[in-house]
Amino acid sequence: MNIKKLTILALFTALALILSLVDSMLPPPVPVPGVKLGLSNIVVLFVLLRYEKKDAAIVLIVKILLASFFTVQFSSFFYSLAGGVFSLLIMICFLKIFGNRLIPLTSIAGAIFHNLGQFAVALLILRTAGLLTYLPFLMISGMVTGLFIGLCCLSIHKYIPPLTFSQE
Amino acid sequence: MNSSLTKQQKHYALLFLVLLAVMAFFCTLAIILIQKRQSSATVASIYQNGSLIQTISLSSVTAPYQLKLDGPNGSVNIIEVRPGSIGIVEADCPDQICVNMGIRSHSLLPITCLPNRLIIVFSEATENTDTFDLMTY
Repeated sequence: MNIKKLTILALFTALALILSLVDSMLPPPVPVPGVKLGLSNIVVLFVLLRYEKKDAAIVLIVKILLASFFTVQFSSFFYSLAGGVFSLLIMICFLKIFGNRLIPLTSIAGAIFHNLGQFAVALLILRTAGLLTYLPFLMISGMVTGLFIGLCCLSIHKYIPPLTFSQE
Repeated sequence: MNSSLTKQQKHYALLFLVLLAVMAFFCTLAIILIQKRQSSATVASIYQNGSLIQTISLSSVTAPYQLKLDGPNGSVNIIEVRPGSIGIVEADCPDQICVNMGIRSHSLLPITCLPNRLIIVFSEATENTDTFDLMTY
């Protein structure tokens, strides 16, 4: 990994971290655990669009690790990790099929799978079937937030000039 | 934007959109049903870490009292039990979602504190809560 790549990825990781902290400060719109805007997914999706899968995975994992250190909530680590990995995998599949033409759709799929991953971990930890009543709320919120994040990423993709790793 | 898509990509996109629409429809339906159906539940079961730690028959509570629950990693939740209703009034988690859910008397939605692995489920008084391992709606 050359210095330029390291610096750019570190920059994006810092950005994702800040956005996830902002995200955790926003009041939840409905009293359902797991419903969040997912602002930091803008960065992950952007890195995935511009660079390689590996780079997006690095940004995602480092961001989740640091975010769980900063908030001192270690249980949230597993929720975020499962959600993040699920969403990254589905977004990679979508990008393979659609290229970078249907970013909002990719983002919606990512958000829905993020919520599904989190939900699966919550079911595993709590082992309570009553949690299932949260699922429709999580699906709808995934669609809404995914669309929002996708549109954000689309306009960012349009206006930010290409940043390459190649060294001059 | 769509003009640059190949035929196959259009098919996939359409398929995904239809899938989304169907899912959105059923989820909205489920949410409406969940909000509407007020079961006459009077039993609240408190689970922590996936195991049942306490079952409270809410209708037989005469005076309000508070329960302090110590969770994993030194977390603390304070649960208030009132005649006919229950809720979490204090939690040391950052998001406070469980506190925001308020005091509830009967609801299909459980009160959950995910960081502290605490969940309060409402059920019918006649139901045997110990064998309660699947729920359909």
